[in-house]
Amino acid sequence: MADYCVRIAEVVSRDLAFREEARRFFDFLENRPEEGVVVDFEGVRTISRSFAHEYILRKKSSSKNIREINMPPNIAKMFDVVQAFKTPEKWLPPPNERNTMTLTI
Amino acid sequence: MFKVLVTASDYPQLVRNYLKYCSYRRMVDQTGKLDLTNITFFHPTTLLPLLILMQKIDDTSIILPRNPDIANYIKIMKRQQTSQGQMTYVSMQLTGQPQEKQIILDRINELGKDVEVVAKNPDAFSLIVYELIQNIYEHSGFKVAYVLAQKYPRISKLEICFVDDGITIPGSFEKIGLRYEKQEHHKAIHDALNGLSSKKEEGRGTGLTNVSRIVKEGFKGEMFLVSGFGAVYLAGSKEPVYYKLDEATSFSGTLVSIRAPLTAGKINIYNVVR
Repeated sequence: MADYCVRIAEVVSRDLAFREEARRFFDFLENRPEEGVVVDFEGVRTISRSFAHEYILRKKSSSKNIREINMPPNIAKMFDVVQAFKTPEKWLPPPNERNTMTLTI
Repeated sequence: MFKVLVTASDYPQLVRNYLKYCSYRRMVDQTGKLDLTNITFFHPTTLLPLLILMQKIDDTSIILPRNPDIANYIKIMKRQQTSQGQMTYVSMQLTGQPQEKQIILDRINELGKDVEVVAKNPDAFSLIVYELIQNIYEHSGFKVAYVLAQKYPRISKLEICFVDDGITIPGSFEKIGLRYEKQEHHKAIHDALNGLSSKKEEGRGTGLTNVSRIVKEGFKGEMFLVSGFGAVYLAGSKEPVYYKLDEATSFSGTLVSIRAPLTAGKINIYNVVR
């Protein structure tokens, strides 16, 4: 059976934002009879980190053989960021007596 | 006559704007009326929580501003309408519909088409809008939520405010057994900004972190976040300021207010986002 090719900009949106949208997209793919899926990113403008993260999680656990084509550079960069993530970086110093005050009126 | 106090001038503007809301709330608590007669201008950080307050009190208790433009501005938002046309602001009440994020983002892009910081940073603004709306939808359990973006050419700033009346950040952590006492709510906010998540999956808890990093490190802008009895103010290269709030200044929900310089150049968010 030939691979199923889907343009994600048409099925989801040109702006990929919410986890729920990624979940629904993968539920849709899982219900397809084809074993191989080609996700075409042509026309996608923006992606949130949340969408990219959910996409990667669902792809890992998917029964399908999924590959991506026509991924714009900014979208590919967001996937790279998510895949490179190890542990949260403690970038803000904790509250202490010097940097904490009471706010009142 | 009840007077709204002018708050301490050494607080940052975003904090002062929030305190102004607190003064109005106190007016309602003490007099049963919300008298806005003499108001000539609202910042989003004052107006949005005030709109939530207005949803919860009787219309007859509200005295709208004498200034027709300001009164109309409030009426548009109270009627749950989305702002239209050529304006210096965009507003929307959130209801949980997926298309809302696109509408608000398109409006912000429209608002910012002559604004350097928006035109040069579509990825950054989409990420800010998506992640903060995602948080409201997924974590807050809100009944009422608003987004308002306003540009101020005179001071060269773009301000975007997100507000909900949901369970707060400490309340969200409490659902997974992490309890912060009222006097520790600022610590819960710190932990959320440093990647603590109420979700167990690996790689979660980066939304607020990434938004705050884009604003503080990318745009060298400002961010004020209030949730429950805690708050934090972030600005450029300065150290964060954490706030413990009392009954008069606490907020039953979460407010995130962001200010970016209109002339900020292009930033590479992929160097900032984790």
